[in-house]
Amino acid sequence: MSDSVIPTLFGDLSHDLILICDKDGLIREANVRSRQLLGEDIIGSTLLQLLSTMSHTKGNAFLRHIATLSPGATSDAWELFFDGSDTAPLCVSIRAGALSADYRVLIGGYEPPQLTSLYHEVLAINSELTNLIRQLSKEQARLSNQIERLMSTYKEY
Amino acid sequence: MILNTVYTAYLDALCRGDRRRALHTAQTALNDGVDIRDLYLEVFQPAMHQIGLMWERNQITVAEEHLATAITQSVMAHLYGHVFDRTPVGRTLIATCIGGELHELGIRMVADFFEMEGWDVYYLGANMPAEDVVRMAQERQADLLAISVTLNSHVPHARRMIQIVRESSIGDQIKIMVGGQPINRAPDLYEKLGADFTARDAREAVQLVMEVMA
Repeated sequence: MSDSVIPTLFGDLSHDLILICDKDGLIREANVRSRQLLGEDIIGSTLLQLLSTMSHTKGNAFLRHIATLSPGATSDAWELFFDGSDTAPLCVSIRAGALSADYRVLIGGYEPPQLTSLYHEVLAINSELTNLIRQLSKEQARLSNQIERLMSTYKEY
Repeated sequence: MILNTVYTAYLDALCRGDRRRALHTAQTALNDGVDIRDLYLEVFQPAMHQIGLMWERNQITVAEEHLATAITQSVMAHLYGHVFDRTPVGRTLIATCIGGELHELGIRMVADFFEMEGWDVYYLGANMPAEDVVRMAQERQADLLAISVTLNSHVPHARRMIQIVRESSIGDQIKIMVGGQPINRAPDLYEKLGADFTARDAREAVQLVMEVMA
């Protein structure tokens, strides 16, 4: 069994995104899952090009951070939003390890799109509830005014 | 000085995900005489900006950022009694936000500031179709439409919405204001989108509209 087959198989069997890039973020290798989720033509792209606009500032900070890793060192997990090939932005919790002075391996677990949809649904429900709280406040104020008027009319008689 | 203290306490409550403490901090500030407008602009707005920065610096997660947004929405709703009880001025604002509920805090603040000035305000929520916005504006004979745009990718949607409003029967009468980060970064963009004006925050929006529509 060839030594080079083993890492390829690991990569292809993984549900996580696995990317190898240089320390400037230029993608050199990508496993099957990465290509499925981010696009078949990601080799040669920079990490920043794969990120959604909302993650560019954070992506730059991430690249600055991983450039400082010494060989063998790893980073904390960073959440970044990638532009998915056929989905809404994909939230990926990504960690980096320094393979050498010049190369980094990035491994990221992504949030299932269904979970992202649920997040948004919860936010929408919260928004509706806060609308109702506002309407209720208004109705309560109107009711208080009416009761005050009723009480003063009652006292007059 | 007091606002700094309130800001620190409020941000701390958001970072801890403590809804009750956030609300208590805001209510105590109001009871201590802090103006609700200052609470919005000197506490809620910078606290949420800081939360965004903390996410960019990898100090908090997306879930924590979402929770902070939801808490601030909830706190603003609970303080609403301080917002709407003003003498009506006979003006109507329709407000909407392009993008999801995560991005509606800014336009909510703008809507509340107009309500504090006695305007009738109809907040239509996020992602409202342009045709529904037009219908609502016609029904309510709105004087002003405020559109919030929070991401660059939403700018084409705003352009389309403004175009549809302009082509409708109310297009000549209604004033249109746009705001949000992409607009703030490119000061001339509002004109290119077909809007009448823009403002950097809720207080400036009210001042500008009072001048233009006096």
